[in-house]
Amino acid sequence: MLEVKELSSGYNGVEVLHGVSVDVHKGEIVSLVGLNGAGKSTLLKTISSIVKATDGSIMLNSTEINRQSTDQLLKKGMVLVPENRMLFPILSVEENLLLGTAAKSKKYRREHFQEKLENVFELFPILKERIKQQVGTMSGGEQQMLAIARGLMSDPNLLLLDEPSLGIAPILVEKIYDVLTQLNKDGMTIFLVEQNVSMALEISDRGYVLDLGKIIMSGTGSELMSDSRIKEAYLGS
Amino acid sequence: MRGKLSIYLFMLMGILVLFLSACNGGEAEESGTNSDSETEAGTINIGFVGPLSGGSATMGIPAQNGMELAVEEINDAGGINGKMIELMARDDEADPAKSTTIAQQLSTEEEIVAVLGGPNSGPALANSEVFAKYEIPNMISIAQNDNLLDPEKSSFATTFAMSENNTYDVRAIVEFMKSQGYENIGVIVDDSAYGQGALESIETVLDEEGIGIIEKVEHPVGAQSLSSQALKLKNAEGIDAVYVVTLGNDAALFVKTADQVGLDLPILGGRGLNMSSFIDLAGDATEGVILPTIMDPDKPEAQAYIQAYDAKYGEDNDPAHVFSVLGYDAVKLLAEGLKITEGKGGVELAEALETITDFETVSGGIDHTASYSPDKHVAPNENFIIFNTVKDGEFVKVE
Amino acid sequence: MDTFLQLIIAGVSTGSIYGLVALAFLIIYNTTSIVNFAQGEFVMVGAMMAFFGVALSEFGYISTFLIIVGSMFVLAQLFKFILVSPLQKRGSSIFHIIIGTIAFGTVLTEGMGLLLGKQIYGVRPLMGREPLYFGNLSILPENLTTIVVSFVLVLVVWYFFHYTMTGKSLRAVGINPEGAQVSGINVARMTIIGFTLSALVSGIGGMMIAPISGASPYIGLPIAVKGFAAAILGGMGNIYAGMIGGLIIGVAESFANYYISSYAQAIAYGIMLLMLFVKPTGLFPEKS
Ligand SMILES: Nc1ncnc2c1ncn2[C@@H]1O[C@H](COP(=O)(O)OP(=O)(O)OP(=O)(O)O)[C@@H](O)[C@H]1O
Ligand SMILES: [Mg+2]
Repeated sequence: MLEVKELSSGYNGVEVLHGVSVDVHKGEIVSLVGLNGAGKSTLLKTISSIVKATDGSIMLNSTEINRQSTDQLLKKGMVLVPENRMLFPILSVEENLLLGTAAKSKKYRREHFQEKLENVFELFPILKERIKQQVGTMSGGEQQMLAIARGLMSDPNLLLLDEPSLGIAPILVEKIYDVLTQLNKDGMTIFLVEQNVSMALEISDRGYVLDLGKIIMSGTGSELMSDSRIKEAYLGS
Repeated sequence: MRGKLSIYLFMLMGILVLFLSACNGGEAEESGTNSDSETEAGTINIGFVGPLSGGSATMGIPAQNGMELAVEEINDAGGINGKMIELMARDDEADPAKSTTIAQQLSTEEEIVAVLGGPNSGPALANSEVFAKYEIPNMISIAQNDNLLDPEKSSFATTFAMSENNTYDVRAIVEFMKSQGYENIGVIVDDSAYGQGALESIETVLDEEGIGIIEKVEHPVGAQSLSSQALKLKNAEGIDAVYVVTLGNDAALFVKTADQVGLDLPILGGRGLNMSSFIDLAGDATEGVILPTIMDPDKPEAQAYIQAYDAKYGEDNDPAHVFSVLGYDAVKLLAEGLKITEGKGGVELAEALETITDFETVSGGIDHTASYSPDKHVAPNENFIIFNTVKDGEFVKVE
Repeated sequence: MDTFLQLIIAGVSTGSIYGLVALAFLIIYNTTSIVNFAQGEFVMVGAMMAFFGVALSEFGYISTFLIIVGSMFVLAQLFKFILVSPLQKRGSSIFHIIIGTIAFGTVLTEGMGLLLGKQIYGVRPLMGREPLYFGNLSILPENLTTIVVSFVLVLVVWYFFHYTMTGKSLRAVGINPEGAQVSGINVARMTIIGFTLSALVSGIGGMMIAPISGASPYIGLPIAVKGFAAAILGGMGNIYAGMIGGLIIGVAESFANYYISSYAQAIAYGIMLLMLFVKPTGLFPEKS
């Protein structure tokens, strides 16, 4: 579904990714792990066209998408739930969710907004209670749920998630992971960036390890979990 | 975060103001008929420093046009001893600092025999020191501040004025007030050098003549509202008339507002009201306003001039031709001096100008002529000012 | 009493002009974080176009309004494609862009001077010249139009930002541009919409002041200063508070001019300085 080949990119002329190749097949959950500063977020941002690729190619459903804008990619069914959530704190939950449909047509909003709203409320009932609340006043966990919910409002079939567990109470992290597996069961393809390596690899079909802008290892979740180098570097044992 | 940003914003605004004033003081723009810096063998260069942009361009541009018209006439008639006059006009944006810089540049880098000054007293006062230093005769065309020509100063020797000063205008207006029986008046002036200089003259002359000033109010140039000022004058008891010394657009806002708040008093103005923006902006509210002017439509020379000017430049913001004609007459006076010196400038020209007597001008009333002498460096005689009023949207002479 | 009310009327009419400039200024600031120092020149272009339409070409106000809308639309495109986009492409910081707006304003002034002349031009008002009377109180028709138009524009802009998808998206861009981008908002398109809206408000403001104080290429800076002061007083983070800031400054000036005339000019600056020291977020900061 998503094929990244020899991708390079960076900021202000400083290259951060050096020829990264990653594949995500339809229906999979694929994880990308790596140390701080490895370039994980940069990879997701480059795929979503927030950072421009300097070399290599990105294919979505077999068409090249290097030159497409972020909103065009949302129309094609790929959405990023970014690191730090990037919500609109002074707007309400409902307005944040509405803005998640910005790439879609008026017609889509008219016909599907309520339905999508109910879908995400089913997944995250707490958001329904908070529908009129200003987002800035909500807890980190609630905000992370909202960030995922906003991503789902455009009806994607490929979800890019950047550290959904960051700074969130373990109980809520579990809740979020339940939702992710649920979504995956219902057909959603997921590309997940995590520092919480064991948790991510547990729910993943496959995983990649990124280090200093290069993929240094890949394999199925269990293969990676049992690799001694991974254990040493990421699992602290 | 937002708080910090607004502090940045404020600092940036400071920078902006500095930046703009630096621009004003900086480069000298060239415009006008001639930007050649080389003096050709057969030409006599005369400078002009005045506002060709900014709020005062409403006076500066007609003045420049009048000057060019005069130059053209002189050249068509064979020039000065066969040499053609060229006008080198420079825009000082009515900024004294910029005006000084331009004066320096004109004095040292261009071979000008004389220079013409513009309508703004601030810049005229500032640049006249520079021209005096280089002994370049300086003919101030329009500016009216009382202290432009000060016999005590060394610059007096080479500085001349085409127009009479504020006090002269005020005296003329006071005569008019007396003829109408006004005993007490209200005054409104702008906060520029023009308004403030006029206010000083008004206070002195009215005091001498025994007319009281019950209320005086000020306003910034380019005001968005003059209601407070109009109300203050309305609420002052015992005023017989209001004397308005500001420029056209502000005066327009004032007469409109006066009308609106019910300030039903006769309105007299300064020469700055002679602008088409005054009538365009205020319409009927200008009807009956009395203002001094220096063009007498009954004078054949004036009629011929208006015809020639309008044919060349069309209608502009100087419908009464008061600003253009001063530029025109200033050039004609200079040329008269240059005929005597056979084109030479410097002190020789200044001394030649001092010998001119009873020179026929286009400006002024029927019996007006211009004369200079070693201690009189303003051209007009006692018949310079006539009065206009507004009737059916036109400036017409008060008989 | 009449004088008191009359002073309030005068203050509200000038204040609504300041508020309109503040509104235009805050639209750009709150959607792109750009402090547009050329805002006054945007107003100037509106005023000069009013002169061009009503006085020079004798078109009447409806056609002139259309000319102004057209010119402001073009102006917004120029602002985006000549100034903002090239600087952004080169990775310039927001402060470079802000400095760039100063240059842009200067170019507008000089350009307009070359195009239509550098003098002060009169423009006849829209609704005739007869003052309107309400009992003992009176108002000039052009001032009444200004007040009504200003308030209507604030309402329209408020409705736009709170009740339309485009408006909400534009606010989102202002709050968090990257968040807006990942939500699927076309940020580049929103920016140009924000510039256009601001330019339109400025242009209409210019059309309003042309018959009051005249049109000239040089009216931009003084009017911008009052607009900035109004925006800072109201609160930079709140698009509509600039109107309230404008009204306060307008009324304060009106009273100061009446009671303490010589200091009146310092009022706008004084209020602005005081605000920056006492409450830099303004009277009505956007809650966050
Ligand atoms: N906006 C930016 N401008 C310049 N450099 C950046 C920017 N964002 C990230 N970088 C640099 O790019 C490199 C990779 O950063 P990135 O955020 O992709 O890492 P990461 O793997 O997501 O790290 P983390 O686990 O901490 O989120 C880092 O060296 C970082 O400093
Ligand atoms: Mg990251």
